[in-house]
Amino acid sequence: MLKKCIPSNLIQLIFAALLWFIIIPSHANLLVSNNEVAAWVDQYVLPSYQNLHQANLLLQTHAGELCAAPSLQQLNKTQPHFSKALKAMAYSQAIDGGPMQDELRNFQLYFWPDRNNLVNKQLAKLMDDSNLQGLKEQGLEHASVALAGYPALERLLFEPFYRQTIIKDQEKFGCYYMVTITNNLVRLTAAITEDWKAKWRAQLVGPSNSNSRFKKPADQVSFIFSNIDVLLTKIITKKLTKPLTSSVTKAKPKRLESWRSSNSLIMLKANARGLTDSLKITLKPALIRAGETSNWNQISHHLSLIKQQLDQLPTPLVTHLNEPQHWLAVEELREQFIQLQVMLRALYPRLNVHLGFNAYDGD
Amino acid sequence: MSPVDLTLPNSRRHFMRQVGIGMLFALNSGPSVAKLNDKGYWAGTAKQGGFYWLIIFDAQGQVQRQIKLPSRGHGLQQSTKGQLVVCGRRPGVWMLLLQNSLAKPQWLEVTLSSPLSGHCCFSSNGERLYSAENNIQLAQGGIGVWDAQSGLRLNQWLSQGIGPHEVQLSHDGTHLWVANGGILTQPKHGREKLNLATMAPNISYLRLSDGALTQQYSINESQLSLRHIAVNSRNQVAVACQYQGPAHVRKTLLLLIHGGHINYLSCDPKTTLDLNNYLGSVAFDISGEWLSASSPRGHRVVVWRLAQGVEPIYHHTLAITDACGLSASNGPGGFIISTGTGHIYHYAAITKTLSSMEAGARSANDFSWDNHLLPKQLC
Repeated sequence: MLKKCIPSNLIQLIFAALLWFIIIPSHANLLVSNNEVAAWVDQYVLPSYQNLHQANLLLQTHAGELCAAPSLQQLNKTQPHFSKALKAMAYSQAIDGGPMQDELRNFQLYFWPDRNNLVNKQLAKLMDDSNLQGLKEQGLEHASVALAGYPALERLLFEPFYRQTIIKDQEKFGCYYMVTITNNLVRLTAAITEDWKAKWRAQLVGPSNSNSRFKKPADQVSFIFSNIDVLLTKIITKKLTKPLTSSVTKAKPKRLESWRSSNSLIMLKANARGLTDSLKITLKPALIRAGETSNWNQISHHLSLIKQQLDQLPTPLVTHLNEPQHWLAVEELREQFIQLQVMLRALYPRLNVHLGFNAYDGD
Repeated sequence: MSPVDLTLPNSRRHFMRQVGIGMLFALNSGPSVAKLNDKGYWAGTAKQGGFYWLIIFDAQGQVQRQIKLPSRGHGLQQSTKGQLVVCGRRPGVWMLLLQNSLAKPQWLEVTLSSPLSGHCCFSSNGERLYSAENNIQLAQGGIGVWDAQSGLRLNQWLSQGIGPHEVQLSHDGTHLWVANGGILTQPKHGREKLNLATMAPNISYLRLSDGALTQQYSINESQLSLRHIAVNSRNQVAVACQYQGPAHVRKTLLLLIHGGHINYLSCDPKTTLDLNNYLGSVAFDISGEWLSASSPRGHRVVVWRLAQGVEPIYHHTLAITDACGLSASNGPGGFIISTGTGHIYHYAAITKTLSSMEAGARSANDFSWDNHLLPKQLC
């Protein structure tokens, strides 16, 4: 009841001020060591992308099997593999920089949010024979990024219209296209994993004045925490605020990500796990080394609260967001993510983390 | 109208005292400082400790003086007489004018009906100051004309477009180059972009004697905001753009006006992709034959050479985290580069050598350097 009377930004301000007093008593610098940077790459980044790549390989295999004998049952059998890949991708989203940005791989893999409904528009165009011919000749190389990844595949696997098209289509248009997408997903995640192994790991772990963007320790640590902050911002603004809107009556469940496959909540949970693991590898040892175990415990407790909140939400979220109690629970989850971001941002100056001062907010 | 209030609200001041960081104010004026136009000194705006500052530093990166700003700063310019002006970031409500490096700050009165767009420049004799601003009533860009000694506002011209951002003096001091970025904003909507579907950016060339438009350049890409410009002694104008269209579409962002034409400086596809649709700053070197542009979103600085002063040739791309501020250093092909992560580099384009300028720096690493550094070339 109290919360309803106080504007949420005031609550955030009070919370931030309290944190300032609680977390920053010493002004001592915190250091994320090179070992921890390496551990982040070896224990989080590389396993994330390897898992994602494995999931894509499985998806590719099942798409191929489906096309040997297209049926609704086969489509249903492929769905869990799609969801598994999406979950693996969500876990990896605490690292969105680096090789993921090359070739617009981030857009190719997961074109979301799709403000202009580009995926549907491009899919409709693709139904045209002449465009299909282009796809057969050139693959996805010259196609829109909206056609290249999970959102398009999700429609083919879960939307009745496209499912029927795949089954009825004598030319196996849908199957051919599905296989093309899964091939592309495999190609992308293989390239990302390889780039991390061959180039990015060495650059991030051993900053130098070579033509790598990591020239100083501040560049390393800013990269890691900028990625974490980007994901938190994406969760807060795009994954939660947009579908929640300002009230339960105005809620827009179809602004949830991957609502067609009922993966919205699963992806949020995977996001939270990715964040938790990243922070455990990097921030936890820095705080403990600085004698600030209690600060880590607070952050850890907050992460547990987020997990609990996520576990209490019903699935599929898309069918429950319009219900007052669940809308409120998601709103509370959003507040928890905001508070986590505030807590972390309060620590960044001490970690010598600069969150893209010009990159995020230039003019 | 009252001058810009530099004091902090009581509650915030109290809060500051509580946490014991009021000592930051002690840095408001530094030790004796050489003249601003002495060789080897630069200035930039930056964030440190939750506050925004004008910082004057030497060739070694040592901070010589810092002045607290009311809000985030943006463009800086130096006059031939050694004056320095800093503009508040869009929508700006203050300008800081220093008659010399030791002078008491003059805070120029900016009206809410004509908020600043972030850049200004001096006339060649240092007597006038021109600011890019928005005329809210007309929903048009304006150029504020100021007395650079007294700080009094004298006039306002139309910028001949919407959303002027950077202004620069022509090579001979008779005209003003204006980058009309094309983006409409209104104070009541903050920094929200109100006309992305109907943008019409242009580069306008205004006569300084009366503000009349004498030439105008536009491009077919309506959502390519023409925002930052640099002018060399041949009156060639480098234009750094920011694309306002979909993020998954990438555009060529660097243009050059030369001989009455506006041309795209296209990089290879990977570099174009890496620049991430956003250039934050552009600068010529002191010879005017080397050109650099920064992309903080892409963590890149691209360098071009104008062969025989005319033909643009792509030279090199540097990878630097959150690089944005650029200015010419003392040697041909030399640039100073500052970053949001608190670093300052020198790049010698001729030898392709990048070196850190932070050795022995006092607290400079704590700064998040803002979009721009003081250009060595005078406005």
